[in-house]
Amino acid sequence: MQSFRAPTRSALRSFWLVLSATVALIGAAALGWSLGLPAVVWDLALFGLLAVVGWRTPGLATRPYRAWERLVRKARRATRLWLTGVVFLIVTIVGRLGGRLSLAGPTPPASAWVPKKRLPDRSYGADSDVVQASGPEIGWARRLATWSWRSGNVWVWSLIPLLALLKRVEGESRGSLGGNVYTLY
Amino acid sequence: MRKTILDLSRMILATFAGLAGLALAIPALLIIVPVWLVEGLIERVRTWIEPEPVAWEDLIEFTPEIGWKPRANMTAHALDFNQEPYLVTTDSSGWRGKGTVSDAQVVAFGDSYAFGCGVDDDAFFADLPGEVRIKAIGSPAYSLVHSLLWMRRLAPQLSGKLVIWFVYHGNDLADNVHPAFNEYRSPFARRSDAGEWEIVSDHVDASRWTINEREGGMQAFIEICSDTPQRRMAFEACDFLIRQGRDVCRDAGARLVVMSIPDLSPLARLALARALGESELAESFDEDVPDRELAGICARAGIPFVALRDHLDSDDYLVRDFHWSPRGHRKVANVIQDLCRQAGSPPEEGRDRSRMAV
Repeated sequence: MQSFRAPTRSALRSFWLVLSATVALIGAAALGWSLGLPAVVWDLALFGLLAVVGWRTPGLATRPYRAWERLVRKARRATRLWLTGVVFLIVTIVGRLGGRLSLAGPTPPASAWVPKKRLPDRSYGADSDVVQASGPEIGWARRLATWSWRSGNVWVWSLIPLLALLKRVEGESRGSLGGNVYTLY
Repeated sequence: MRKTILDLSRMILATFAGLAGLALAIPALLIIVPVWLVEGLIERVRTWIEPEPVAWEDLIEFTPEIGWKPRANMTAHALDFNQEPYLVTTDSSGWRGKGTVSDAQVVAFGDSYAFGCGVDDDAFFADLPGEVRIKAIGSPAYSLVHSLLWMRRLAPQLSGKLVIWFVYHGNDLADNVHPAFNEYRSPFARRSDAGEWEIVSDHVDASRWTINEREGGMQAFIEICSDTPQRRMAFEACDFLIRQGRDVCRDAGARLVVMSIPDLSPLARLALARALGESELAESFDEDVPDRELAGICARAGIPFVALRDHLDSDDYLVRDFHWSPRGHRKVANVIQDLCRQAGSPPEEGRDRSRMAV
């Protein structure tokens, strides 16, 4: 699907200001070190001029902004792939080292179904046969803590930061234009 | 006992393996954290410099019989389809622009195009410098029925003026026969049991309309441009409404010109191509149908008709919105100025007034 969003003027101006300021600060540091204070003043004056030009004609920033967006997309993709790989690696290592995670499939004609032991009524909704506290007042962390300790899977906590990072990296997907777009006006 | 110790040692081993694996995430953090920091900074500056936009429901207020109109005495930033804010200023009646109906030589009725959606006040066609004073009476999501009702209300002020009636191909033709715009109750045209067309507005109040049968999409536009019952109904309603408008203007001593607005925006082109790709009506689809039908209706009603398709191209529309760009507003203002100059001279004998050349 082709993206139908374009950067707004505010986004372009903001990007231009941040870009100009970053370049100006790096330049000021470098010039101040090598050439002294007058060079820093010239550097900052140039930044001011660039900022004004970018503010008045935000379209100037379109190409650098697109390039920045491409860079962000690539960084996100690389991070996502890396993190996913680490998650799978952890699961594989743990499975081999002695977690209770069963990675090997059953030998036919054996079944992979595992009978769920009888649980107390209050654990009816539980997805394993480990007795867990239930109810809306019980948060996911407490439930996970109970389950991981009782089931011998404390290692799953090492996945939580990775999954949280993955969720953050996924971000918002960009919109796309379908054939049923409303012409509401 | 031995099994418990074995289980415990396995658990400890697995936990250490998991934590060691966590260290492998550090390279990913080194890539993404600087990106997040810069993104966060850009976003912070953007929210700092961007004007606070108002939501659609805060731009309008309830109006009996008509449903809604732009809020009066408003200076606000509305958002276009691309979420780009644009500055809107309305007068004491809620209409955009500096002039008044009584001072204007031209009064333009219409929907979001007459409202100037997507452009700042200084690019709005009715406020551009020119020989002719123009006042626009329009609101987002109006159909021809809304325009007709405003024409009736403002008729005493229309004497001696040129009245332009914008008809947007995109959704006006379909919305004329719908009792609501999404959750907002709307007056509409209906054919009675006796076969006569009438305007219905007794259902219009401030309460929410909960049955949303309005299509309002490209599919509705395709149906109107193809050989379908929807097309016949849409143009029968249109014929009725335009004749009503003609009578109102004639009685008020005003001259009416119908001006059709095609949707040539790159966004609409893309949406139309996709919708046609999925439609069974693609073979019978003919995009010239609205202009042809409207020209016929106007000819039979003795009203001049201007197809803006003859004057605009895709560059006259915003890149990421369905509405006119500042360049499009300038062109439309020029077309109106030319029309006004032309209308100022007496009509030539035998001239075909059904399609004015401007």
